[in-house]
Amino acid sequence: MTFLAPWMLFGTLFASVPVLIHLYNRRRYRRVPWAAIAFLSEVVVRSARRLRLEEIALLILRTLAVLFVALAVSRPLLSGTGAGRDAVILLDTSASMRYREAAGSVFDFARARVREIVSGLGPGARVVFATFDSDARLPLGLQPTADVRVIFDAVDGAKPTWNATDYSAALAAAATASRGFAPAKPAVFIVSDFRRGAPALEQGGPARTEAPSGPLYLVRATDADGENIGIDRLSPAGEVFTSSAGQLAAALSNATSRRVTVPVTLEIDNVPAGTTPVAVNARAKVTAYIDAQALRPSGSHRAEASIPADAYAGDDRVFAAVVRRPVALWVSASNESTPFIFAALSSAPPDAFSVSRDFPRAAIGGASPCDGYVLASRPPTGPAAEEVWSRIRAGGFLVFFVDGRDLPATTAFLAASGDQALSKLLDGVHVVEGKFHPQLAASHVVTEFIRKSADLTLSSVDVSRIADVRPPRQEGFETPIVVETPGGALAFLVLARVGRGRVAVFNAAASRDTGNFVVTPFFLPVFFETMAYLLEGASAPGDYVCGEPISIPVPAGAASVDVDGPEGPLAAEVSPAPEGYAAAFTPAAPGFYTIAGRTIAVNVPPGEADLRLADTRLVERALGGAVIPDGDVATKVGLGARGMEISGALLALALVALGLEMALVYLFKRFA
Amino acid sequence: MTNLFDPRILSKMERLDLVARFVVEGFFSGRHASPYRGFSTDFSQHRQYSPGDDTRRIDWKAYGKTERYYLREYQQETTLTAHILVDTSKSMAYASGQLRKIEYAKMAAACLAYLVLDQQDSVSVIAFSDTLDLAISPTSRMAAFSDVCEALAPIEPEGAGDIPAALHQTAQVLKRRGVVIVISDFLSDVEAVVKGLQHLRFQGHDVLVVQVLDDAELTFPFSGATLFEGLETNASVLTDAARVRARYMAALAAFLETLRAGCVNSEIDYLLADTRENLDKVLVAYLLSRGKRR
Repeated sequence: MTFLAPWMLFGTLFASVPVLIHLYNRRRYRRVPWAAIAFLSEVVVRSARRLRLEEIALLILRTLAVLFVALAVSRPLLSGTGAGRDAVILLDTSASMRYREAAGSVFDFARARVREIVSGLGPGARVVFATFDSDARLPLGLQPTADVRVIFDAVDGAKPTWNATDYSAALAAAATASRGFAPAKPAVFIVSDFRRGAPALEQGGPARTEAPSGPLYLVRATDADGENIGIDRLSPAGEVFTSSAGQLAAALSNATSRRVTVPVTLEIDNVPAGTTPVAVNARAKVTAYIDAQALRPSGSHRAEASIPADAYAGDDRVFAAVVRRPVALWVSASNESTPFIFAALSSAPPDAFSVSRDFPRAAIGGASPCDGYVLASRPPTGPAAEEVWSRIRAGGFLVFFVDGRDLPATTAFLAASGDQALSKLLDGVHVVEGKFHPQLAASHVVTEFIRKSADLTLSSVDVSRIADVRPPRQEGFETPIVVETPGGALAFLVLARVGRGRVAVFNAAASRDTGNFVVTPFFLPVFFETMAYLLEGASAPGDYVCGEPISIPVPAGAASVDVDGPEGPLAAEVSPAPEGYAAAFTPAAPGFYTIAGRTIAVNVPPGEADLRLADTRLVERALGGAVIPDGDVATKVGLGARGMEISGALLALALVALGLEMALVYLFKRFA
Repeated sequence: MTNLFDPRILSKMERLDLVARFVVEGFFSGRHASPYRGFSTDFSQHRQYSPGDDTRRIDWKAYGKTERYYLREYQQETTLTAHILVDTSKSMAYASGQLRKIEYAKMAAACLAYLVLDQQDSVSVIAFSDTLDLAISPTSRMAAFSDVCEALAPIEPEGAGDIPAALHQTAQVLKRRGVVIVISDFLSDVEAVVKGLQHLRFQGHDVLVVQVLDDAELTFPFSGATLFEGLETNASVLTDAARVRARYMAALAAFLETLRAGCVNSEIDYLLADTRENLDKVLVAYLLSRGKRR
């Protein structure tokens, strides 16, 4: 027999309490002078044996009751009497799990927790193992397995991704997997870091249609509260508001050629795609664009607004604002591609896009809004390419149709992004023209999937669902759609993050000369869903981005400060700053960087950047389970894996003993 | 309204004679004259005078009619003598409240003595514990009542007490038939006690038994671990009082029933007196007893 709470065995000492009370009462009595002593003596002598037996019986029952309670709270397990406990185990692979603490990465801790759980389930326990971030994946399938070695291999094979955490996906997968155990109800373990930024926790709970049938345990992979000093720099929204495009147009129509430059302070957390910062005077008659490039995505800014002079009274108060407007697209398409691209754009809702074809020339140094680029021609080179990538890093997006006929220019353009993974996208692989052949199984799957969508509208096709078609992923990329070629797997659509922006690379030309993608029925939905996805692409508030220098205040004293990041150790140079000293470095890869004992997140998805642990009660309320702190999971949860827990039976016995004691007391008095 | 016969109140009166007068006169106040008064002076017959007779008893009216000397004779030549036996053994010292059994017994004895003397009968008081101790020899003078009270007042319980022996001894000592009133708790061998009482009865006495017990002895209201220490002996009993109570009560009921049955079978009047009960109960018992025997 083993005990899940062996320290509670000290409680068995309380079993001696009834005996001690009995002995104490024997020494504690009151004296009564009594006339009929002989008479009473006779009664007592005749009853002595019976009284002694009654006392012993009551004493035994009271002692047993205390003993049973003490043993019950020690949670004993009867060895060899129970089968292993079936379980569904979900391992969080989201980006925040990459965070490294002093003792190692949170993901490594999480894997250790999973192994502990599996080991504690006991012999014969069946397990469904899944990983989850924005989606749930089942490396071993839905069929439960009792092979611990296979499970451990799957755990070892799991790797953290760059995706955000979606607990809805985890719970849905848990519910689905639990059905495979029916009628048994497996325990569900979600092993995660449960950080504050996760949307489900922030919003009070995920949308859930079905709860797991068994108990839900939320196992913290770490109890260490992290920080992200970028988060600390968040500023309130201030006087930022949105206006309609119609109002904006009306305001602009009043503009004249004479303009004055007015300084504006803009408190802004983020400039969402599809919007633009403007300055509005107090009378709301005049609105002018503020150059988005002059603004950082968050914090307090001083900018200059160019306002028509005759509309400005000089003492007007000018507010900064963010207004909605059509998505400003700069399109560069070859002659062959133009019909398809513009046909696609024109099929979008009115005012969805504001298209300019003066690319790349007008894009360079222009002050007009530009949310993103569609590139279906020979890619730009030199300063034009630099300008494009600069805007993308600042929060723009790029849809790039790769034409295999001009591989060197394409490779050079991707290399200009500065992103290591994107630069190597086409290295060592044969560029596949984007022809979709029915005999290619994967493309057939994609095609069939799209065909089955009866209504090919923007909302009917979900890129994340398409991603489920082929789960393999390449490190460093989001790859929703892939095709398989005889030469191996190659991404068909690669989604990458460059700085604060997003990039979609179609491994297919947008013309009929080299591919048939644009004439397939899923061109429009995939194109629009990709655009919608890219428009969401702004980085999380407070994030830092790859390629942009980061400056952190540090105390004086050293010429450089060590930085621990995903690329390995770096050295940040320390230089005088207006308020002391600052250490500066430029992150090249996404991940968590630790400098001077503080952490910052670089290019981490929204929701993954906040490293503070979510409140336990908040997590339990949101997800509906019990949070198990970091530590010996099997013991704390009391899996009953090595046997049957008999606490309940012991408590029942204690109640029986107490009931018997009360009954005997009554009977002894009644029939004395 | 104050209960005039409440022994707990009466016990606060220091003078026993006042207690007795208070009770007896209060008991008879507002009633007709006692129907039992003067039963010892009822006329029986005339007898011719013979030398040596007391000349004061000559019926001069009969001499006037017949010119012969006749004496008047009465049905009962002498007054009734009531012997009041009071148990003074140590067990009578028990009290669960304010009033000890001995106090109750002494007040009852005083009241009975006053009642008897008031009826012009004789009364004697005998205290007994290990031995008989004649407190007051028979007297019919009301003036002797104060002597009775003075004899009773200082009595304190002592000695182990031997009730059966005392009863037998009394039966042997009292040659002349009379009324014997035994006031005791009778906490002794009940069979022997009954035999002692029967001995008195066989001697021709009318016997009234007044068993005085404390309320605690009758109800046993104790609970928890209790050490009962004997008053007459050094014996003691440690027990859980609540758990022997039922058995004690059963044994007590059997004891009382044995004593009562023994008395009834021997035509002995029996009264169980709780020390919380009024003293007039004892007077009523005595008067009823006398009425039956008349």
